[in-house]
Amino acid sequence: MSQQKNLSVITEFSDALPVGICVIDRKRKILIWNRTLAEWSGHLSEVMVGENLMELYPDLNTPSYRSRIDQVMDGGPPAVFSSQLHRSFIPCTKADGTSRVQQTSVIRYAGGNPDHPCAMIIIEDVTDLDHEIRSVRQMKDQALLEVQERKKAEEALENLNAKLNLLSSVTRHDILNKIMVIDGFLGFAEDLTSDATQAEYLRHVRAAAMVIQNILLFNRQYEQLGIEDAGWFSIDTLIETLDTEERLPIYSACKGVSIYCDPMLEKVFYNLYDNALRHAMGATRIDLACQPSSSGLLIAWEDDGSGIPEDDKEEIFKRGFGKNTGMGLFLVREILAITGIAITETGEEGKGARFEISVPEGAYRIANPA
Amino acid sequence: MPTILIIDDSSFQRTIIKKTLTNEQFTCIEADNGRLGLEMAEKENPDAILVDLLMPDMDGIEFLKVIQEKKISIPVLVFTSDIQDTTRDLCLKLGARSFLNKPLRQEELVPAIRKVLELPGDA
Amino acid sequence: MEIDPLDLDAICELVNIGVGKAAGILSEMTGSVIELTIPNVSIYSQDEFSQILSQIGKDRYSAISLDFQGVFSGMTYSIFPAESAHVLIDAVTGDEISDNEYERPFSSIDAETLKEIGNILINGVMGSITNVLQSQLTYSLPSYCEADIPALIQNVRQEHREAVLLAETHMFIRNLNIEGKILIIMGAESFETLVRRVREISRG
Repeated sequence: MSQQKNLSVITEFSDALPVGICVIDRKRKILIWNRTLAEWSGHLSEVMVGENLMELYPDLNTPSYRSRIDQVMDGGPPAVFSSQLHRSFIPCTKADGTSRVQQTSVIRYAGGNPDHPCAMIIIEDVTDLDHEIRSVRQMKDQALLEVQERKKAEEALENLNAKLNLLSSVTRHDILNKIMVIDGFLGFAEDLTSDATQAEYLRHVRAAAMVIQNILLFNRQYEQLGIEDAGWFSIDTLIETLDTEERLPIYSACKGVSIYCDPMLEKVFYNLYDNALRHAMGATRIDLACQPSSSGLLIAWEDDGSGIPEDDKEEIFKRGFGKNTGMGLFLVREILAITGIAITETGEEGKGARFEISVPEGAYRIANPA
Repeated sequence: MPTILIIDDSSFQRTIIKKTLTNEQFTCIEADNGRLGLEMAEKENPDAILVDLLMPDMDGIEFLKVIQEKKISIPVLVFTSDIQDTTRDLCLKLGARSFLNKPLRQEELVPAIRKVLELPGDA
Repeated sequence: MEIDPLDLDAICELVNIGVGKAAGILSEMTGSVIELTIPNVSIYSQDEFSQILSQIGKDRYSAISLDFQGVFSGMTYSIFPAESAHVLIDAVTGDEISDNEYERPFSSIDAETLKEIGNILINGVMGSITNVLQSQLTYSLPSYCEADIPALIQNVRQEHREAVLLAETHMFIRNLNIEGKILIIMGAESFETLVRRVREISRG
C-alpha cells in the first residue's frame, strides 16, 4: 500500500513537470504516465496505466534498451539515451507532423518498496535544440565546403600564374637575346656608315631598343612582387647594405625599427637612393627619420637637393615618368602597397625632396633600446 | 559423481563455480588456460567441460576448435562475459552445447549442466 | 589495506564481466562485432597516484563521470583518448569511420554521444560491482568533460579519493582499436568494503 501511496504523490508531482515521465515496474507494466507525456503521445494516462510498455512500443524490447533498463532496475546507475542515437524513446508526433526529438534518462525508483524496484523514464523534448545544433552544423559544413572550393580555385589560379610567369620569363629571355643581337649589329652599322642622316636614324633605333630592354628588365623585377611571403625587415640593416657614395651619406634615426613588408623592400631604399643620386641636384646628405603617428609609423626620407616641382609630385610615381627607366618610383610604390604601406612626396621645391612612407598600425615594431 | 572440468583464467570465477557445483554433488577439476585444460580433458576424461572465452594461452574459441578437430566427445559449455549474439552463434557452431553469460547464476548453471549430462532434475 | 593477487584477479573478473555486457550493447548499437581483450586492472593507493600518470600518460581525455554514494562512495570515469572517441562516435552514429578527422574538436553532439557510450561502459562495470556488494548505491546522472588525469582525480571529493582502480580495456570494432579506460576513484573504506565482500564470496 505504501508504494501505492507513494505513486499517487509522484503522479501528482510529475503531472506538474514540463518533461515526460513514465514509471514502469520490472515486468514493464506502466504505473505512471504523466500529463506531459499524455499530451505529447496523444495517449491518456487513464488508458496507459496498467498497460505493458514493451507491447505498446516493441522497439524498446531490443537488448540495447531492455538490458540497460534491467541494469537500472538491478540497482545500476542511471542510463542515458542521447537524442543522437535514439531520436525518440517514446515516438511522439507534433501538431505539424514532425516527430519530437527526445533525450531520455532512466533512473531506479524504489517507490517505498525495495523488493519491487521500478524504473522512472524521464523524457526531455530537445527538438528545438536539436534543430539549432543541426542548422549550425549545416552552416559549418557549408562554410567548410566553400573554403574547400575557394582553396581549389586558388590552387588553379596559382597554377595558371606559374604558367604565365614561365611563359613571360621565356619570352623575355628570348627578346633580350635578340636585343643584344640588334645592339651588336647596330654598332657595326654605325661604324660602317658615313651618311649623317643614316647615323641619326640608327641612333634612334638603338635608343628604342634600349627602351625595350629597360621595359623587359623592369618587367622581370615586377614579376617578383608578392611572390615571396612578406616578413619583418630592419630598416637600418637595409640602409647599411646600400652602396652609398661619399658625396651623399645617409643619416638614419631609425635604430631598432622593423617593418612588415615584401622582401623586395631593399629595392625601395635602393631606388630612393638611386633617385637622389640622379636627380637631387646639389644634395649633400640624406636624413632618414621614424616617427610614430596616430595611424602608425611615419618614415621620412629627406634630401637637401633641388626638390621636386609641385606638378610632378604625383607624376613621379607613374610608370614611364622620368629620364631613366621610368620604373623606379612606380616599383617602390607597388612594393610598399603589398603590405598596406603608402608613399608620397611632400618636399618643397628648391629645399629638397621628402618622401613620406606611412606604415600602418601592426606593420611596424620598435625594439627596446638595449 | 560426475566430474566437471572448469577452465577459466580467473581463480575467483573458478572458486565460485566450484562452490556451486560441489554443493550439487559434482566433482570439480580446474585449469587456468585452454592449453592446460585440453591436456586435462584428455588425461582425466571429465563428464563435461565449462570453458571461458577470454583467456591467455589458448582462448575458448581455439579450445572449441581443437576439441572438434580431435573429435573429443565430452560436452562443452561456454560461459563468458561476452553477451554478443555473434559470439553465441560462433560457439554453438563450433560444437558448444550451451552458452551461458557471466555472472553465472546458480539457477542457470546447474540445470544447464544436468541437461547436457542428461541427468534428472533439469526441468 | 593489503591486497593479494587473488583479490586483484576477482576485481579484474568483475570489470571483465561489466565490459563484456557493455560491449554486447555497443555491438547491437553499431551493428558490428566487437572483439574483446582481457582488461588490465591495477589498483593504486593515495601515495601511488603519480604512478598512474607514468602508466597512462599526461594526455587530455574525453571523460564521462558518474558519482556514487553508499557503502561504496566515489566517482567512476570512463575515459577515451581523442582518436578512440572519434572511432566510437563514427561507429555508433553509423558514419563512415574516417581516420583523418581525429584532430577535429568534439562538438556538443559528439559529447552527447560519448556520454551515452561512457554511460553504457560505466553501468556495465558498476552494475557488476554493485552485484557483489549487494547493497543499493545512489548515483548522479553522467556528465561529460575533457581533462587530464590529475584534474579528473582532483575533481573528486577529498575523502573519496584514497584509492584508484584503473582498468584498461581494448576493444576492436571493424578492426579498429578502441582504447577505453575505467577509473574508479573511491575512499579507502569503500575499497576495503569491496575487497572484503569479494573475499567473502570466493573464500569464506
